[in-house]
Amino acid sequence: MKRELRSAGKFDRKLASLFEALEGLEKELQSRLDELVKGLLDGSISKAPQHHPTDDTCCLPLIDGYVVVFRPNQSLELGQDKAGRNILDFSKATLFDLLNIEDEQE
Amino acid sequence: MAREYARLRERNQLTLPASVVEQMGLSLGDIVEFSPNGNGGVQIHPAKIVKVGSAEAHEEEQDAKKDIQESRYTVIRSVGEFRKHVEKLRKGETPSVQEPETNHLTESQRHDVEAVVETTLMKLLSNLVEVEKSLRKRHHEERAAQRRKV
Repeated sequence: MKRELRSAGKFDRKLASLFEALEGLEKELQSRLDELVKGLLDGSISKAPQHHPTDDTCCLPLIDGYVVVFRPNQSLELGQDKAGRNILDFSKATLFDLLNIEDEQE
Repeated sequence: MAREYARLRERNQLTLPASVVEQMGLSLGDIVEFSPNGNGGVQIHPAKIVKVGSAEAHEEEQDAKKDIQESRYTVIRSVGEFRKHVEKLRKGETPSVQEPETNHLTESQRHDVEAVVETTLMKLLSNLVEVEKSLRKRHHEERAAQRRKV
C-alpha cells in the first residue's frame, strides 16, 4: 500500500527548534525520527494512542518526553490502554499529517 | 519597549538587550526563532516546545491543520526524502512545498473541479432530455404513419 506523509510548516519549525534544544542528541533524534517515518510509511507502526479524547490526532513518543502529534486519514478505535487512553488503529491510512511536537513531561 | 541596538561580533554572535530578553520572557537555554518579516528584516520569536494538553498546544495543532489545508506542507514518501527535508530545515532553508496531487486538492482547486463537473453533468442532462424529446417525436410520427396506412 502506497503511503505518504505531509509535514506541516508548523511541524517543520518545531522540529528545527527541537534540534537546537537537544544539542548533542542530534543523532539519536534523527534516528528516532527515521524509525517513526519508516514505520508510518511501511505500515509497521499501525496503532497509537489518541492525542485528545475528541479528535482524530494520535501521538507517539519521540525523545526525552517529547511526542510527535500526527493525523492519519483513516482510523478505527481499538479500545483503551492501561492508562485509559483510546488506542487508534490506522493500518488502512494512506496519508499522515505531521502536525506538532509537544512536551509530555510533568 | 524603546528601540535598542546590538553589535554583531565574531561568528555572527549577538547579545540580546536585557529589555528584549525580558519582553520575550526568555531564560537561559531557551531557543529563539528568526523568521522573515516580509520587508527585508527578520522577526524574533521564542520557539518553545509547549506542553501536551495546554491551550498553546491546541492552538498550534489548529495552526498546523490550517497549514495543511492551505498547502503549506512538504510531501514525504521515503526516509531518504525525510532526511533531506530535515537537513534543509537545520540549515534554515525553507523546504520546497510540493504541488498537491490531484487527490490532495486545495480548497480552490476542489471548487474549480466541482464547477467543471457540475457544468458537464448539466450539459449531459440537457442532451438526454433533447434525445428523449426527439425519440418521442419519432415514435409519435411512426405511430401516426402506421394509423394512416391502416
